[in-house]
Amino acid sequence: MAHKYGNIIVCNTRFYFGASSNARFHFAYMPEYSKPLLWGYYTDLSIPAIGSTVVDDGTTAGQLLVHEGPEYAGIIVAPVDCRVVGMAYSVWLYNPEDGAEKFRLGAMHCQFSDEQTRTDDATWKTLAYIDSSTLSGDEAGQVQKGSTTFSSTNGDIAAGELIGIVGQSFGSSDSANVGGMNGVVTLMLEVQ
Amino acid sequence: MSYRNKTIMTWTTKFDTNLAAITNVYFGVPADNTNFLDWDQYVVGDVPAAGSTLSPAGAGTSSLLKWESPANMAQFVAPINCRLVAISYALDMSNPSSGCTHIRFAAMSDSDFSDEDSRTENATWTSLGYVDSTAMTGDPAGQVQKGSAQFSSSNGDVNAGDCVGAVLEAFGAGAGAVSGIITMTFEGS
Repeated sequence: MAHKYGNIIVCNTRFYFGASSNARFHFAYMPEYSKPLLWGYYTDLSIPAIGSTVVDDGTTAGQLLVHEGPEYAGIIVAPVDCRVVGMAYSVWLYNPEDGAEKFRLGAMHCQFSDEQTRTDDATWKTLAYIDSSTLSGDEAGQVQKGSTTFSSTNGDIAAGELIGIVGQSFGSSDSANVGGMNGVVTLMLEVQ
Repeated sequence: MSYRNKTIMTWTTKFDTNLAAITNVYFGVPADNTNFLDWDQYVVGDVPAAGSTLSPAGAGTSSLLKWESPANMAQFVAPINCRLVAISYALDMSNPSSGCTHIRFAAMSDSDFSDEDSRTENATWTSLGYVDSTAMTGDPAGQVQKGSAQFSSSNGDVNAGDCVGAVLEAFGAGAGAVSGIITMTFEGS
């Protein structure tokens, strides 16, 4: 096989993300669901800084289990050692709430061990994220787009490891969220 | 990061649609639709030549609004500046109408889309390139088809952050129910 350092791998997904609170991140339903691109699952945890991890906090609302990576959030399994080097998105925001400030799309390493019990608490690491443009006041429905590139070992992921995509809203209060959005997110990986 | 000129990126989607009428450009539906691979949205018009635009500003199915770019048409967002270099497809037509001559598969981008534009503004889509299916004559029976085309033109250029999607159009007469898969390939520039 001729894969080598610098080769690029891309993957993308269309999605619907309906933010209902700023205190949680959302991810997709399971594939057999009638709307598998709807990010209807969530946990009351926040996307951590790039290179940092988020873990199940022991509460019902803050539950994060290992099966939720491959079953829900996963979008690609690294076929070789690689690094997240780019993210891009394009969305339609229906009608952000007054005070909504932005949304964040995160690429997460959904960590687990082979044959681990599916209901064990999970640890997910942020490989990269991209923030939307900043909103202010009570903005109307609008379209948004963006792209960013990365060059950090924080984005490194080994062959066979799972990457998931999650979304989180931010605002001046918990209810001041970005609401519903339909769009597309693309992830770019570089072979290491 | 060492991505560079000539880096290849592909995306693929399956689809199902009913190309019931000509002079309609068909495309996808929002991701929260139960049948999100059923491309039953359309706008009245024709796929323009590569490098030209589609911007109907009428009403109803004679208009394209900006929200339809990320929500309906888009399948991919360019992570870096890149160029469309290939389209390939495979399809099953269950029973094309008599007179249907071919189907056109086009890559479209919304390069007119600016951050925070109102979702109800009129949209302008640019044709990056297209491939036509094998020509048919008379009253074609149900059949399968496949094909590919390569491109090397600045008409296929898109900027990082631009959304890109696929659209379909039947010619001659409606192509009827069509199920298939489209792959589009881009080259970093």
